Amino acid sequence: MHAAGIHTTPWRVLVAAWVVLAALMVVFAKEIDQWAITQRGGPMGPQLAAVSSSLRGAAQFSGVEAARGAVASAVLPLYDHGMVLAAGPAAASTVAAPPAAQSAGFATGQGKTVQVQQAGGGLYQPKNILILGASSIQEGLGTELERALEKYQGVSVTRFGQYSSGLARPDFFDWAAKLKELKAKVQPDLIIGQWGENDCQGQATRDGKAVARFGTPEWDSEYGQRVQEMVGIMREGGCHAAIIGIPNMRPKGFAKQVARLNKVTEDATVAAGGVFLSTWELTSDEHGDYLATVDVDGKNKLMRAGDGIHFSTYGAVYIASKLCEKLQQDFTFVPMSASGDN
Amino acid sequence: MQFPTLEFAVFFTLCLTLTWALRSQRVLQKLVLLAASYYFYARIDLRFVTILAVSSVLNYVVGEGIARGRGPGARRAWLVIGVIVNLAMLAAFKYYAFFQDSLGDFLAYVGLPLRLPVLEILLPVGISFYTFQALSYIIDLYRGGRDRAQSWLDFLLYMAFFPKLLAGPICRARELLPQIAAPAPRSVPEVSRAATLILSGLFKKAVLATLIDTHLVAAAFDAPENYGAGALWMAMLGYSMQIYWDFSGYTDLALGLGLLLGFRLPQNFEHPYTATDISDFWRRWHITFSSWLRDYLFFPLATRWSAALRARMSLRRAALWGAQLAVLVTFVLCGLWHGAGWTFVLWGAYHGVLLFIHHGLRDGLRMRWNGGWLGRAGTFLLVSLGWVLFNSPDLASAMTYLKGMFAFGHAGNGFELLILLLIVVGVAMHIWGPRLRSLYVELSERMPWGVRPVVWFATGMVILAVKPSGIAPYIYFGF
Repeated sequence: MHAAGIHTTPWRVLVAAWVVLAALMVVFAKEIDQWAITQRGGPMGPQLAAVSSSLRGAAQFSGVEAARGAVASAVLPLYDHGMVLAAGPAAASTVAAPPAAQSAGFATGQGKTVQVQQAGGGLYQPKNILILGASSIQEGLGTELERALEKYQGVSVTRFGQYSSGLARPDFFDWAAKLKELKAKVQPDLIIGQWGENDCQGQATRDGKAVARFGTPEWDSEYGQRVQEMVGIMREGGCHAAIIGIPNMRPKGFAKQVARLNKVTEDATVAAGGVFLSTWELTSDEHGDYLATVDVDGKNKLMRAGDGIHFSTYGAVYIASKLCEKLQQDFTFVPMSASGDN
Repeated sequence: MQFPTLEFAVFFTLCLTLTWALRSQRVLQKLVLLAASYYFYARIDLRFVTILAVSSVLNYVVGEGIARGRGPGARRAWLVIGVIVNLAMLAAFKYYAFFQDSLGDFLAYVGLPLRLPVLEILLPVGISFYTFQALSYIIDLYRGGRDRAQSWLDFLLYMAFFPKLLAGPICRARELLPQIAAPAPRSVPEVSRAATLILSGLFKKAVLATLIDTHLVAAAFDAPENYGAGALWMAMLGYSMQIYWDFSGYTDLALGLGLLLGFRLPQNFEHPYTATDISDFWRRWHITFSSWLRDYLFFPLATRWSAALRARMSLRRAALWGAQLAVLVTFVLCGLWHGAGWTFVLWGAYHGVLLFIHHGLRDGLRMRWNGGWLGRAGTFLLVSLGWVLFNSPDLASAMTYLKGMFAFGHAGNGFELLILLLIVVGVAMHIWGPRLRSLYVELSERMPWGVRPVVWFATGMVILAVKPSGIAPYIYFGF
């Protein structure tokens, strides 16, 4: 098994490994600093902050951070602006022209949500829906919600999800900027967003400065403002906004965090004039504890994945159908006819 | 803690330092490697460590029982216990939900109100790999193999060695135990090759696989009804490249890291998309797994069934039909190993049927096929079609995808030129990649030692520069 090969003394390899590691830590100083923010409340928080600040200082002084940013700015857009081939004559998920009659008499945004009225009476009928969020929207629940909504007459859906993202860390992914970009491109009349599954952590500003630690009133206030900002952007120009809450979780500590986050999100959404679609009671038993299964048509089905956090395929379909039922309380959706005509 | 992260780089550098600092104290060195492996696994989920430890201890005891057993009856009894325990663990963690769901649907269909309890079971990452590794150990011992672990420490390290723990290669006892048992090497073997493997693995996973996944494949397989036929064909070919880069990239990292720690792990891929027929493909794809299937499933089944058929037909025909039946069963089980779902079972059966046809033509009708570029293209296309089943979340989605590939008038999203370029890069890497890698190793070896880490670091920085944001999870971690 020990084939002939060139051998190197261990100390040379170790020196090289440590030098490479030190260089990597300077190159990745920004990411280390961002991680250190999330550890602020921990036992080694101050020490980590000191080390990460020093590394960040070294990276900025040596020009490495600026060079990385410049290279990323030059290279990454090349991946996103390429020519598209073989698109069909009217691609799915592209937007039809926005409906002429926007909602008249929309809620003032104070207190409870009010049902959205059309100019001619009755609830507003969305035609062009944009769904946004993190990994639950990128796949799973997002996919099934898109499929469920597209079963309604005249509805076209565009969906965008970004793994590991949320509102707490705009230095990692700026959702406000992305929302504006997508809204301008898609011109929806209803935007459904879901954030929070990755937000039970310290918040930071867009340039990576720590703002508030999770679990503090400051965090609640800051996050509430961010939700209001998002709903505000969604509602500009008469578009309607709905925010999906985060489901109950099996890890009890995480479940408590999510419950707190959901309260902040719901209050902020309603205050900004949006509709809040809770999934908590759909994923909890009568005691408010985590529920993994659901009985449908006499079958007991697993709704959640093995990690107790994500949905199973069946769970995503089930929750999507329940979300559509909830949306029917505030909007009009007309099922497709039996012939499937739109 | 995944391979291409800074956290892992810190962990590995510490582990490397301790490993070589303790090379004159082999037992202590092995304890450190074992502790590092368990720590690595615990960083994914602490509960997984218990399962690995229990599996390792049980299999060690079974192995000792086989080795020391008095008489064939006792040895066989230990083997049976070992096989049952290993398969039971795998079944419980991996297949219970699939079994419960499928049985429940069937019972509801026939009108029986029985229900099995729904249990939430978290699948320990890597369990399929280390369970099969343990099975190969006890079966080889039973068959008279001489590679018995010299101590419980050696065996636990054989099972848990972290470079290969999560997604193989599946190491036979004869491949890894002698290296563990031998005195520690005095120097690091083939550092240039190790560095090249690590850089190659990073490039394949962090750049190529992530780009093609995030720019078409994930979205197309997630909602194929949104895409036109052209895009679905590209996504199919794109996934063929993605799964190869993802898995072989992981293997490259495992081999490179293993070399730096002084261990040589077996190769797992031999540019599989240059295969000239389906049989050739399985000699090049996931080699340690396909050879495991061959040695522990296919040959025993083929031998047994050929003997059973001997009474009814000629020796040649009995051997052929025995092998044919064995290949079908082996590949259905191959599919099931990959995942607890009907799409995986069908994917395995699909390959079984392709091999059935290939062997029937080759061995039955004695047709000769030289392969060539037509064979390579045809094999790549057949394998790629199978990946549609493999990557679809359920049968309905797979059928939607396959129908969509032939719905040429359907309005749908297209695909970026980038995807076409990545597929071309993938094909080029299959043809010229091994030569490029050898060239890189040779060039590294010619440089003064002080220059080599600078060149390797610079290469790593180029990879970082072209890397898209984020890294998709490893596909094979789900198995």
